[in-house]
Amino acid sequence: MVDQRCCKLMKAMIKKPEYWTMKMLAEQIGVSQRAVRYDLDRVDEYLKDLDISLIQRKKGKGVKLSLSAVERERLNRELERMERSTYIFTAEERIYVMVDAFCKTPGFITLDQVSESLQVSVSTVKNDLRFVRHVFQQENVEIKFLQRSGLMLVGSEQNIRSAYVRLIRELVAEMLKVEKGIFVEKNEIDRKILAEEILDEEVIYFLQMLIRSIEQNIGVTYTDLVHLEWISQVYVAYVRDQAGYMLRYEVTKKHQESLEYEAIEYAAKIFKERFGHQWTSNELNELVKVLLGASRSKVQVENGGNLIFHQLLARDLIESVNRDVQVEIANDQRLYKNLLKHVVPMVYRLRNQIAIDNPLLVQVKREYRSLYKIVEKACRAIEIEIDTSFPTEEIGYLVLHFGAALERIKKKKPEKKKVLVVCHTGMGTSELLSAQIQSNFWVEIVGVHSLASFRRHQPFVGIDYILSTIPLESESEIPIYVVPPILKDKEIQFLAERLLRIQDTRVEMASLIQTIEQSCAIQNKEKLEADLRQLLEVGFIQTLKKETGAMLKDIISLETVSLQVEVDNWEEAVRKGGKLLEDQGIVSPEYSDAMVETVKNIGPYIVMEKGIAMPHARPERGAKKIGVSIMTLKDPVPFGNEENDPVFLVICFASTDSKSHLRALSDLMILFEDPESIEKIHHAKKAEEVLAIIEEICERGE
Amino acid sequence: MLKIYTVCGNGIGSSIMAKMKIDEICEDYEIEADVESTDFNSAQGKSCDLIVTIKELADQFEGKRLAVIRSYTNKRKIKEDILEDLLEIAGK
Repeated sequence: MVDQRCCKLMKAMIKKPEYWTMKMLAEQIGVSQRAVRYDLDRVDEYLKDLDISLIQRKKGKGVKLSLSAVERERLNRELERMERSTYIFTAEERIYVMVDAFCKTPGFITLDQVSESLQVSVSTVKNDLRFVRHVFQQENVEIKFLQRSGLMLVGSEQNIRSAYVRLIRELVAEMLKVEKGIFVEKNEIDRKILAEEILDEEVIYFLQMLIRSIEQNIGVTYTDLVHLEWISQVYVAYVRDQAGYMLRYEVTKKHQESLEYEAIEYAAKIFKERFGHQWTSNELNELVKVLLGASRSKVQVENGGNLIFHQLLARDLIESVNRDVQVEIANDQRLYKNLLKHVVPMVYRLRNQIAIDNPLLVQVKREYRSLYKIVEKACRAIEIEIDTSFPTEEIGYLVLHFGAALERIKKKKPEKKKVLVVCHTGMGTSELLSAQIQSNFWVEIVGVHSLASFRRHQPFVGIDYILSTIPLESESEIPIYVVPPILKDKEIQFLAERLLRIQDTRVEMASLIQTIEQSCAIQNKEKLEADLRQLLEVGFIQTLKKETGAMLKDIISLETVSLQVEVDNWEEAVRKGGKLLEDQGIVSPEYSDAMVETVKNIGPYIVMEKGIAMPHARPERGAKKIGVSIMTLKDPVPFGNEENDPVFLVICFASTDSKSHLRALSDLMILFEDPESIEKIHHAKKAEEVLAIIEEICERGE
Repeated sequence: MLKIYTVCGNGIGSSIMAKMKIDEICEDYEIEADVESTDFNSAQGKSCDLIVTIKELADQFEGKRLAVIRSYTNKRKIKEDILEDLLEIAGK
């Protein structure tokens, strides 16, 4: 007889009717090659019984299943039939089935019963039981063993139901194909098969229909998550009731006056007609709770004084968070509106201690770590007001709202800071300084003053910063920064901490083109792009995803690629590489000297990988633009780097600062890690081939 | 939060590449670190938890915690060279 594994094997071979090696099959099925050989023999026997062509074996090539169309269809049908009747659950799946069995079975359940229904040994069942215990223990339910009777769940009915809901929620999601993405993918379980095994499809679909009609009756739309919760709960109540277990506990709070209660009462009537199950008033109450605490995709108009309370709460939260984040979110109307929508059901949940699941919690805590702390602090502060405490799940949802607000701010362009420039004469140096500031930062220069006119015009108002090349005495509290007329990296860095760097506000070429396209028909997009680049002479953001700045392919051209160059030594190689940049006006002649100096001073560390050198120098040593040259050497030369010599590929680069070439560098890294592309460049005959490889590398970096 | 500097001669090429790789390694091991690249001269005056550089530059740092790398770009080699130090200073 063939088992699950053999079926998998046959399926794989039917799907791809070519030769498979043992290794390929072993990988596909996830077992050893030896097991594959053994399975193949069994498959052969099975095929023989069915009178279907056997597996073809060819030395050196592997095994192949080549069937006629008729045979294939027959085999597929057989496999399908078998799968249904003899599906063997994985260890993980057995836990689901066992939990389900505990919840469904009236009274005791014996090990033999479980062992038989799962087709595994009693000792395996005993072993699995440890995990099943764990599932129940999370809800304070124990499994008790009684001699001669068997196993039984001990715990409050409500807790047993919670454990059961927790288990089947993901299966219901699978069956209804909603919100599946929120559950972690598990390789070890096949949710589809489990759902079919455990759930009563008819009841589940009926419940889905019911919740939709409830929505219609009360005129709201709930989120899929609420559907899921509600359907799971009703289903569990139904199953437990069938098994003879009633929900017995004192209801502390009734919800009978609500619209929701009426709708559910009506739904209960329909359900009873169909399945003969009468919901108790306790159950009804539980189900109303789910809806009342639910978030709605469309908010209802709240009536009466409560609204003011909720509004205040939302305001409080926003203001409290606003104090701790570095940007202004208090005026974000969208945040307020969305938060208000969220707060209404949230307060309900908190007051009635209805737990809400937050599958995103771990992710939220990781991605928005500091924001989470801020929001948590804000929540703790208002806990007294609403006389309850916030579970982490609720905080997680709030963080999402605030996170969205922060993202919105990022997208908006901030206002330009107003800057006043002062120098001794108010000419020359201050002009120079103004120009540099304007090209580097997102500022508005509101005035240029000489020392004398500065004194005369004091005090200034509406100015954020004063930049001066000379020390100043000022009566106002406007911060004054004294800087040299020509800004160096150090000063730019210093100012960058106070002013917004302009490269953060550059346009994305794609969106610029898009804007143009809205009003005109573009005939030659590439040319337009190139012209725009030249005209505007500013950098464009290529991508917002990874490192910003120009891609490698944008700063290299046919002119800066030179192949099979003949050189006598490393210094000549570096200089020739530098010359390529020099000829394109990317660097001044001094730059090559600086590159050579680096190697002489600090050693041949610029040989980055086997055979690849990357000479470069500091921006202030003559870099005029950002650029890269690539040169392959006819005969490799040593650079004095024991590990990576000799060098056959020389990649010189120049950058005007320490940031704008980051993207290109990361592209280069991708290239270095790809020996195949390096090899292709090494043997390239034409510069075009090299550019094509670079182009492809850059795409990978996207 | 750890502060780590990667150091090369110019501070704009190799050390940035090494920085990118170390960022990746830190992420792999869930180590919170602020990794910055810098040139040799500026590195001297900086205070940090770890300096990562090549052997040619290493002897010139005194009294600083150092990790010497053989490559600025090869993640595997970098990992071999710094992981022990990294985990130790991260207290892992």
